[in-house]
Amino acid sequence: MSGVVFPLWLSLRVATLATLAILPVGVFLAHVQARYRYPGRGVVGTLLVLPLVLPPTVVGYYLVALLGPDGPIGAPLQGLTGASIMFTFWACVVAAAVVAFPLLVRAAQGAFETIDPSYEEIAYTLGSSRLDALVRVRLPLAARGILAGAILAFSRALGEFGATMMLAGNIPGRTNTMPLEVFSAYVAGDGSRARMLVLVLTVVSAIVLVASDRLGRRPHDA
Amino acid sequence: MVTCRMRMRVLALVALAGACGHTLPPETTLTVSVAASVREVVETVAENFRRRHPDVRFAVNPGSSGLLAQQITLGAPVDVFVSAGRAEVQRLVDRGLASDPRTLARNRLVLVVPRGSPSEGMAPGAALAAADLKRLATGDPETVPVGRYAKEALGHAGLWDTLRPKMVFAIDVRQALTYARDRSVDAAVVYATDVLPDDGVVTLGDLPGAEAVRAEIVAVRLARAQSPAAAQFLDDLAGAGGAAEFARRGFLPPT
Repeated sequence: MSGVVFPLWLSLRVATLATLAILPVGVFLAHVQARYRYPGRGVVGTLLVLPLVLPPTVVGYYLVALLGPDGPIGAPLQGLTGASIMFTFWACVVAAAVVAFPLLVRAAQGAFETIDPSYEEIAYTLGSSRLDALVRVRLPLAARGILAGAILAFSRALGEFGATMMLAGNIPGRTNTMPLEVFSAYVAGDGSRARMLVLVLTVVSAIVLVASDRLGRRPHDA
Repeated sequence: MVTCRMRMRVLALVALAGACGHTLPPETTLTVSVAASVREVVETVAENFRRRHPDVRFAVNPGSSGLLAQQITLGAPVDVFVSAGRAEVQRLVDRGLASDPRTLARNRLVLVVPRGSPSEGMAPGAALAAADLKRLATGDPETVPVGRYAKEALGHAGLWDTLRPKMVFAIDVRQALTYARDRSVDAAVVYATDVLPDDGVVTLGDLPGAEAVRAEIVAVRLARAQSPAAAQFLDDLAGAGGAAEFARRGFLPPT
């Protein structure tokens, strides 16, 4: 069982941190995309969603190229911290965050776009600033959509495999998240261990879905 | 009310998960990247090592020697590397990432078939020539030493070009064995030591042309290894204890 506890705990921490990390920037960018028309908006929109349609190995390749020991971000970062981010806990978080990001942005953007503009106009007639209108009108109205997106992003982060394999490796006791462990056990021909891991991951994913369903309900009864 | 409490609980969990971070244990942890074919030997030597050094913990990272070497080149935090091929270790030594390679043992290349296969009982050469051999698994010659050796041996025997279209390349030698055990392939080229009794596969014999290749197990300490335990563990692997364990599992002495 000890061989299941660490990967599970690691996966939950990675997915949680990745989701929390992309929330502010993802919601902000979704708001900008939904609210403003500017030159290059289509290109930005494509770039934001691209990791969703790219094969995870392609995302992994980009991440290694950027964050690896010789990468334009990796090299100065290594100079700063003294160690490469590759094959670390944070590499798992970065990989999970990048692949989960589009799911959050899409859901949040959709939520912002369906807001009836008259609510915001009323806020302005009542003397709201733009920031006021965003924080007190638009964000609360989009909250359910953002939450749904965050949960989708969390599930995707939990299941991330390809980019994680490339950027974080599969180092036991350090970066062997649940999906990587399933692969290791399968490749090694360890059927009973693979079954156990698959079962645990299925149950955890089902729990996340049930939780998302409960959270998604309107909290009028609260 | 229920929703509210749920939400609080989830938030508390999230906060807890974030706050805990990842704490390092007070002991030394040696990360040992090990070729899939020698995993068990290395794990046993590590267990024996821990009896004398209970403060040292091991994280054993099994895989194909080529991918493990690539990870190390890219900066993976590995202390000791046990490779199923000399070439992978030499690449690291050439880059100044490791020094002092030690040859621990040698292995034999064999042809295996699933138990109950029509080829059971045939000689390896006859089984490879049989018409009902549709798929033959071994490691990917680019990254898996057993695949490279298989290519060299079969090339030496003049069989590679005819067999090449039937080859299924696995990510490491154990996956090739798994393919044979699961009957996903008709035969596999693996090391003699990979095959355990009652494992669902039958060894037909040495691979044709295998006499032309030297399948050596080579270990090395990485330059980045901080702990003196890394060198001590390498001494154990290359010493009498390691030799006995390699012999017990059917490996040949290095000579």
